[in-house]
Amino acid sequence: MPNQITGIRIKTGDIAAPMIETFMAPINNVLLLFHDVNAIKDLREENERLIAENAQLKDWYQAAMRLQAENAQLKTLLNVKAEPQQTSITARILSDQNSAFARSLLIAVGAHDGVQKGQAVMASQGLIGRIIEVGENSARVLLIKDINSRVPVMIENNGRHAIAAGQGETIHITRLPKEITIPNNARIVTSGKGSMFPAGLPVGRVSSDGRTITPYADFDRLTHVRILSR
Amino acid sequence: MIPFSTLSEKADFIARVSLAYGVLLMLFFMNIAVVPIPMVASLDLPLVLMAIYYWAIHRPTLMPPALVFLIGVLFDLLSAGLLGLNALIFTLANMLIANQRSFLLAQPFIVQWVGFALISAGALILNWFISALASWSWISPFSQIQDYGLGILIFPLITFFLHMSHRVLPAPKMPLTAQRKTRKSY
Repeated sequence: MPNQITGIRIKTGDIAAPMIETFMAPINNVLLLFHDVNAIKDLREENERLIAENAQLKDWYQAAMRLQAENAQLKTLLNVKAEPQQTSITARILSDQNSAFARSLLIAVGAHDGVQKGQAVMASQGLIGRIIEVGENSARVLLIKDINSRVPVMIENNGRHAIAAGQGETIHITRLPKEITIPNNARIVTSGKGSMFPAGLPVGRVSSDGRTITPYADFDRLTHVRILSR
Repeated sequence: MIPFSTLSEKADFIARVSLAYGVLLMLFFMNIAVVPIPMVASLDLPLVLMAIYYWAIHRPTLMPPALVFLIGVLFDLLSAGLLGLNALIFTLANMLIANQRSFLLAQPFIVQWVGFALISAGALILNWFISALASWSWISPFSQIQDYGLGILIFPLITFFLHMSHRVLPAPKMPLTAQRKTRKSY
């Protein structure tokens, strides 16, 4: 029975996906027009912020290029087999179940585009979830905030493994002995355990209470996502 | 069946009814779809519940319980929530409003607004309770309460669109007894 329900869900998503796109296109255009008119007054401030950020990113780019070259040289010296490059598919979000009681997304790519169940889904800043249902032209993403989401993670500065458990609005660190304290702002990345996600994907940083994760991804501003190849 | 004397009358009737269902469809898609505007994209407003509330008071024949249930099932299927949860909430809300219809219909808009706030609060509590029970964990309802407040604030705006589509609907078919009474009064 659960499989049949999943099948019906997938079929409904496949049928509804083009309808949502067609129906929402004019509504989105009108909303964007209002938004753009309102945003004009903030353009100068936004431009200054972006110039400053761009200068900072140029420095980071130089550092990344230097490190990449150094890394390649060291790998050649040590005869390390190069890992295959991670590829991704970018998808638009069609529908968003954004209640605190269920967190999932319907995206406009499916099996036809090479999407598979279990693939990790990223926003530009960090992990947001994984593919749980795949239709021909649509797929469902379970967000890491959902109460059914469990992600094997690692605390980067001490290498401790734990589970990031969704709580609806927040993400908690579980399966970690109580006596272990996690420093504030410690980076949390996927551990790669259980082959659920590739290792090292950024998830978030630890909040001041030491047991809650503040995700890197901004869930309030999601319009597109990236699906990583396995 | 409503008798139509000409084809244009029939087309006119279909166009008017389609407009009302079009507004409903628009609210349904807006409820589940993502709009490309930051912050607005994360809102979860009870737009479909507003349509159910409005039509249950002003034109119950437009949204019979079976249709309300079907809308709930479609909502659950597309939102990947607990299957049947919104179908149950929408159907219960529809039944409750139908029960109080004669009272609400005679009230000024402000009372109908308060009525929606109560129905919407009931829907929120039921949704939260069943979701928490199904997952057997504490779920903070904080963000939903914020969306609930915003939903109540925009209720007059959505009602305006529903009212516009109501105005173009053909007059409801009166029962024969009511028609006879109307004729006698002339």
